[in-house]
Amino acid sequence: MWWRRQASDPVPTPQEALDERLSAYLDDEVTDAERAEVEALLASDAGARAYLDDLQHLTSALASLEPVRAPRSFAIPAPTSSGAPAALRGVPGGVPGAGRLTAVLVRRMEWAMRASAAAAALLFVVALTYNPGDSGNSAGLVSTAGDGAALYAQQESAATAMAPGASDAPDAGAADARAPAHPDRTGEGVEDAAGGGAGVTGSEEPPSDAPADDGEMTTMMAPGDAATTDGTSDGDASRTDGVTAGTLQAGDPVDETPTFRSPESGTFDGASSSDGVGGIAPALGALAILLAVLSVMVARKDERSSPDRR
Amino acid sequence: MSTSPRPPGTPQSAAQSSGRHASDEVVEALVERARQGDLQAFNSLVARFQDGVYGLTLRMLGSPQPAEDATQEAFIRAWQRMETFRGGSFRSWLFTIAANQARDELRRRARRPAQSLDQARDDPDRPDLDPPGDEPSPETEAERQEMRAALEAALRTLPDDWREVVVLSDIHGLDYREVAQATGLQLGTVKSRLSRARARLREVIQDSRELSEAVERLGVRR
Repeated sequence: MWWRRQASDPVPTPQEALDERLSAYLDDEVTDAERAEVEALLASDAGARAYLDDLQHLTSALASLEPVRAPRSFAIPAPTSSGAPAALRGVPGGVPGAGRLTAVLVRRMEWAMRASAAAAALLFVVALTYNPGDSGNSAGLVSTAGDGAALYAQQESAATAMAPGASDAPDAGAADARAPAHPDRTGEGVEDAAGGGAGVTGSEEPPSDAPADDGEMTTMMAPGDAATTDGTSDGDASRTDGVTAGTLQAGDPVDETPTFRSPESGTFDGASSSDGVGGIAPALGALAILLAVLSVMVARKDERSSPDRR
Repeated sequence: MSTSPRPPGTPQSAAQSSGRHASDEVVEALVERARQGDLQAFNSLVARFQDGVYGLTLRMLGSPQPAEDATQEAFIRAWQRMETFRGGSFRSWLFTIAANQARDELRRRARRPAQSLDQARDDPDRPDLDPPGDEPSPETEAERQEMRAALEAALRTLPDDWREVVVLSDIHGLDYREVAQATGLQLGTVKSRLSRARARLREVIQDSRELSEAVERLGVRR
């Protein structure tokens, strides 16, 4: 028998089985044997005849319900010269396959934009916190110059970071003292400190067990003038200078590192630019915002035009 | 409409001939052109079948906006898949796609219980489901409208899967195999669901004396 039921179908009661037979007979969806069986039943059963009569009226009434007028045309618009409309993505006669591909690319672009926005935002934060005078960065920059030079750079950073309060801080003189060969060193220190902030200074504290050796310090400070050297004779700054001087004795020549830090060398110009108004940090911030806005716009546009949005 | 009451044993396809003329030579020619990528030919098919497809989705979904969406989506998908049409009744193939769209929407509603058929029933924007008629007398038209409204209300009392079968079969005139194709059901399941749906509708109609009389009058008249 060609009738089959879903496995989940309930087993019909005898009355339901009879109703099914009559319903199928009404639609001429019975075999010859079933038809003969039903007609024999109808000849002898008034209730079956009445039921079939009801079904006939019902199906006739239901058939009268057709048709419903469509409220508008559902015709598919022709693709324009600028490309298939959204509703025609991937349809034949539009741009075969291209629409669906476009939809996929747009979705991927959305994710790429979000990822790029996140990366740009991260770089923005890094750029904000990055300071050219940072010990880590400085050490990294001078790592090839040897440990002595690296530590000297650390101390240079510490000194320059503290430089803006030259009239207040006891170690301001040390900063000046270490930069005799560079007339604009004080100015550079102010600039660095302004960009770097207090955190930089904190990170550049020297090891607590650093020896304070005035003699070595004097040796290191030899290029400087005596007046400023006197200013470094007490407190942390004094011990810091001691560390620097001691290390420098075992490392590269002192005058190479200041050259590295020199504004004239141009080495720091790029790093310093991250602190400026027109530097890389605002650019990264703007890029992050731009990409985020673009990704949202792409997502909304895709949502509106997608036929599968429901 | 010019159909006459279907006598017992009369093939459904002969009784509801209005749905059968769609698979004529004109349609076949349009289908063949549409399969070659002729959008104009496809839109001719859209114009020919959009009332039926919209009527199906409207009765399955119960409110106009989801029915419009499902209808539009059905035509877009049909256009996208024209090359997969392997002949036979284009109308029932189209109804298969439309029924799938409507069923998807019903499943989505099932996941969002707040939006139910009850809500759609109370939708003030729900359109009058009257067919575009000949020009009957005002009295006759009022009677028909009342009867149709009651029938539509009775239809909405059916479970979704029963309603789908009875709409496809008794309103749109698909035979059991076409209904099985459109719904993805076994023929035996189509048969049993249709029978149960009719039995339920019969009960609803019998509970309403006015509707019962109207249906009887309509059946005799037709």
